[in-house]
Amino acid sequence: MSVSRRSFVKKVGIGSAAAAMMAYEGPRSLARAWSLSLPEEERPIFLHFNENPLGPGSQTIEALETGITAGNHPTARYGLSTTALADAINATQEVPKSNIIIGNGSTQILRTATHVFTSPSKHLVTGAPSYGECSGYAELIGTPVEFIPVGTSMRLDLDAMADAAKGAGLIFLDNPNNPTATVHKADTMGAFIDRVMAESEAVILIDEAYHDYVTDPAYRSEIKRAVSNKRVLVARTFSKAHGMAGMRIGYGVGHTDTLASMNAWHYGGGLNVAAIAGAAASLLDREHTAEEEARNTAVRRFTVDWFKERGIHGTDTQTNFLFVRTDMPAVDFRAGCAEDGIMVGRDFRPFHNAWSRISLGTMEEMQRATEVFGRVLKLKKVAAA
Amino acid sequence: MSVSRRDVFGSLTVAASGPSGALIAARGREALVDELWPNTVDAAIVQPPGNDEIRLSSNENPLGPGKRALDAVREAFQDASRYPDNTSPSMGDLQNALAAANDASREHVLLGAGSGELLKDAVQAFTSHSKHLVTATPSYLTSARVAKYLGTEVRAIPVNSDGKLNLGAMAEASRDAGLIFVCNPNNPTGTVHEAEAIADFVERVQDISPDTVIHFDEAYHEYVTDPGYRSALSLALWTPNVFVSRTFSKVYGMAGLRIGYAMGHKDTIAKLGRYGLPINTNNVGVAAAYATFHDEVRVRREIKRNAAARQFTIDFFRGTGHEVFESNANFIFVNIGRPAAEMRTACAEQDIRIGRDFPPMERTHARISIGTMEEMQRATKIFAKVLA
Repeated sequence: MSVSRRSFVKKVGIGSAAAAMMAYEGPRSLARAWSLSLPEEERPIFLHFNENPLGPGSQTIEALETGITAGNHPTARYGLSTTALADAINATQEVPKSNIIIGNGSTQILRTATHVFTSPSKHLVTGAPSYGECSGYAELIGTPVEFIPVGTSMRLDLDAMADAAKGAGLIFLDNPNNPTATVHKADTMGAFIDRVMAESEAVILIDEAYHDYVTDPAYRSEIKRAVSNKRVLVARTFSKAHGMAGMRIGYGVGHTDTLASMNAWHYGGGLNVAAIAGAAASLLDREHTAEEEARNTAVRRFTVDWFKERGIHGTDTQTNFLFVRTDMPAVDFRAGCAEDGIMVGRDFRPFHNAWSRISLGTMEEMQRATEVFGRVLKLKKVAAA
Repeated sequence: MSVSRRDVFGSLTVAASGPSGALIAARGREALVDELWPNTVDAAIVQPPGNDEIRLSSNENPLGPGKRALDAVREAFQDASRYPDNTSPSMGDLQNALAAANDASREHVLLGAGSGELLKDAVQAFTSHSKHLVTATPSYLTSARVAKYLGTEVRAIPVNSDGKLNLGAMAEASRDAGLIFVCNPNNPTGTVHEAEAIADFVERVQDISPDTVIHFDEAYHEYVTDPGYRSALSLALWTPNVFVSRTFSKVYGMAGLRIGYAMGHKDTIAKLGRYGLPINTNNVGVAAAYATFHDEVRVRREIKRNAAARQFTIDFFRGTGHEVFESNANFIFVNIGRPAAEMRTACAEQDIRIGRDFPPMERTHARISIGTMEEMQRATKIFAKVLA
């Protein structure tokens, strides 16, 4: 980083503001608003929310535009048709339209499932650390939560989660898991699902938010199983590989009976007209998605190797972020990086004293960011990876 | 579902099957009406581009949000991959702006994916099996529907003969209630209560049942022309257990972009906020709302336009012997002397969409949204034929 950037950062005091943001509660928007006011080469790099650094593809942007202009003032209308999106999901994921539920982000699918399938007497099982939406909402509505610590190599401990399934209403399974970035292979998942089916009455909600970024050939989406199994539900999002976190749209796939239970509670009125059009177009633009997957894989390889060459290791990442053992409290790593305009992930207990989550930006951003990581962590190249 | 309703939705089938094509495919069109939320059921389904229908069914703004808003939307597309609290303008920027415009601070403001989401959250936050909901009938149904799902008792107080909410009876019913839903102006009757009546009502409820939360839904606030009306917002900001919901779906013409907000005492807002999705609003809606919320010229023009088209339509109905409740919104509730379904079906055949059934008045009254003057001129010709 140039001296001028650093001094500017110091001058506006972004270091402390960024630190506050990292707590995930403060005014997160501050850095972005500030950054957009800077010349491009001085903008901070956002590696803290697992966002897509490039945004949607050009065909999707065109569809967003069409979504707000085609017809008689579509932005002024209720009763928006989601048919185009259901068609696109059907065409690309080979899921019947009757097995699809659309959400205001996949977050809404997670919440609806938690609301419908858990209760004060039917607990939630979730990994720890894992994506906290289901557990947070469960606590709000008085559902007990059983947190199962991750096991070997920071993978979700499927055996222990199955052990906890008896009497549970819902098992939340983030695959790949945020923040540990690990994925479970198809046969492991199959055995886990079989066991839960045999030993409990719990519904399994598999969050495949990072599905598109998985490169492990042994991984398989459970979307097909969800169509026919009343107790398996899959959530997907357009916030990651499709680059539409700001548009707030995701979907769920499940058995028609499962979706009927969800629809009785699911609030269908939160979807915006642009998102529906954009999401459909993005699914159909397979070429762009393939490019995005390849781009992320290359950046991931670069960043993982860069750490390895300096003796730092993380988990086996299958996502657009890394979970890295820095041996430095995440709060200090964040503060150090923020001083140089790099934003990295928040605390993930109980690993916050030695591990950090780093989202992947563009290759150029990671080249700049790794320089900063090296300085903050006082790293030296030790050997070839 | 009545036969006539089925006919109205008959043209949907596969081509434009609404809020959830999947749902309809799964459980038939009945599900669309019976299972979905009133805010979507309320809306006739958007027809594909090229369809020449006149939509007087969903209380929308027929002119849309305007160029400034759409330009802001396009700008926001470029930052589509950033979460709405990590972009500019952000959710927080909009909250701050709405707060500042009302001499309040950010803790007094909550954003929603439309105000509909906030209506749902309020029932979740403030009612329970032992704390009932008080609402009116007919009135906007989301609150009652959510309560029913949650197993909360609903006490729905019939409106008076002039279509106005029976505030006295609603206050009486508030003892030990969790929440009172007051739609002002009321949808579907279009009637409004003046400032003094609202202040008296709040005082009365707080005497009878001080812990009960009062929710004033002011979706149509900007359209009110009654000079005695005043928003309950300033009252809500500093009075515990009172809050107001507003929307960008009506006068601002952004129903398809899903931005609403609630304002009230910060403790009430904090409690309500726990039930909303953590990131419920989208970048483009936030950008459009932020770019235009202060555009008083445009708002005033829309109010004036609506008032003229509304008066024209009221005059038509009264001139043909039909009673119309005093309307302070962008819709009217008319005594057509026959089931709303009959008129709806007949109008739909002429590509005019009017409002759904509003029990218990669906046998005699129809709700008709106000379109542009040109649309109302065309529509009233059809109405004259249909009601002849």
